[in-house]
Amino acid sequence: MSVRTIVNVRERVMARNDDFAGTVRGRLTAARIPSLNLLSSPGAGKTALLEATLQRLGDTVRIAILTGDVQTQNDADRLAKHTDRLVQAVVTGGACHLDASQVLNGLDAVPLDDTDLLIVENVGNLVCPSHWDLGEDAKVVVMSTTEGEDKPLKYPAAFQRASVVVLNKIDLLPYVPYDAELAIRNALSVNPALRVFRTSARTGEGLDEWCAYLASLVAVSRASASV
Amino acid sequence: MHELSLANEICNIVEREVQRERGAGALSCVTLVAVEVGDAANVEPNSLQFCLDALLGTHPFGRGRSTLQMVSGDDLRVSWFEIDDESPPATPLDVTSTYVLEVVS
Repeated sequence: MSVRTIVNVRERVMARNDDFAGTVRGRLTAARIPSLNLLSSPGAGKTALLEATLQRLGDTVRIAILTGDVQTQNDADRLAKHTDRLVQAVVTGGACHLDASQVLNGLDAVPLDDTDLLIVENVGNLVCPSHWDLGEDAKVVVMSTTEGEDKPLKYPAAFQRASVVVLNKIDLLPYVPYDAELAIRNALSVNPALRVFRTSARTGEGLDEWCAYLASLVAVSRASASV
Repeated sequence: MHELSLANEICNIVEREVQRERGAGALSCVTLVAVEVGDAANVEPNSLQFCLDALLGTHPFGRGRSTLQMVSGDDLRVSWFEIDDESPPATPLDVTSTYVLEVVS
């Protein structure tokens, strides 16, 4: 005879991740460190953008970076050449996204009292990372001129949950059949509140505006600290 | 693509609840796990069910399977699970057997 019992649970599957994200957010808020979560498809130029950002802001903004990859520490090695500060590699070993527990573990290595800004470079993938809250203040989607203009329409969740979109590789616009205005219109149709930057990590075009934005995040955070 | 991560977390939640209800070692009593999948949860139901049934059908579960209920919204929830206390548990892997390898020269 079988005696069957139903046990009600009603628990969100992401609850544990969101608990970790809350802990990350709490630590960063207490230390007045703004944080960004960089998303893009593979090859859009997240690492190149960060390399150029570190070169420009290296002396003025103390940036800690946590970079995730499915395999290899290549991105961390690339970035470490441009900063003496922490570049923490997270090798996901097959997982398609970073989760908040990995960020929480990585945060243990970050000297919070000696850091102005935390940037998490997610695994190159526009699907899964958008659904894992890492405890960041804002998500930034990087798209590039070698992709399709319809990326925002194909991957709406990433753009809907982001606050900023960076159109990278604008130095290639004369050579590729890419309609930048259409791409940005598509992004804004998915999320009208997106802040838009146009950059070339290679030539440096547009990086002043991008870096000014990062510096402003730090300035706002410091101002709130002194209130 | 991330459905195995989600299936793993679902099994973690069920494992914790089973231990609370029946104590450790009762996972082989789990026969059915019901999951609510929001249509905006960015979850591929067939893939999630495949991963869940693979996990629930092996150690430490053994004889569980999953049932998915599509709902509106972006939540993914473990709704309920069923445990069967009376049926004999699935035969556990026999890890104590000794195998003699005969070498023929």
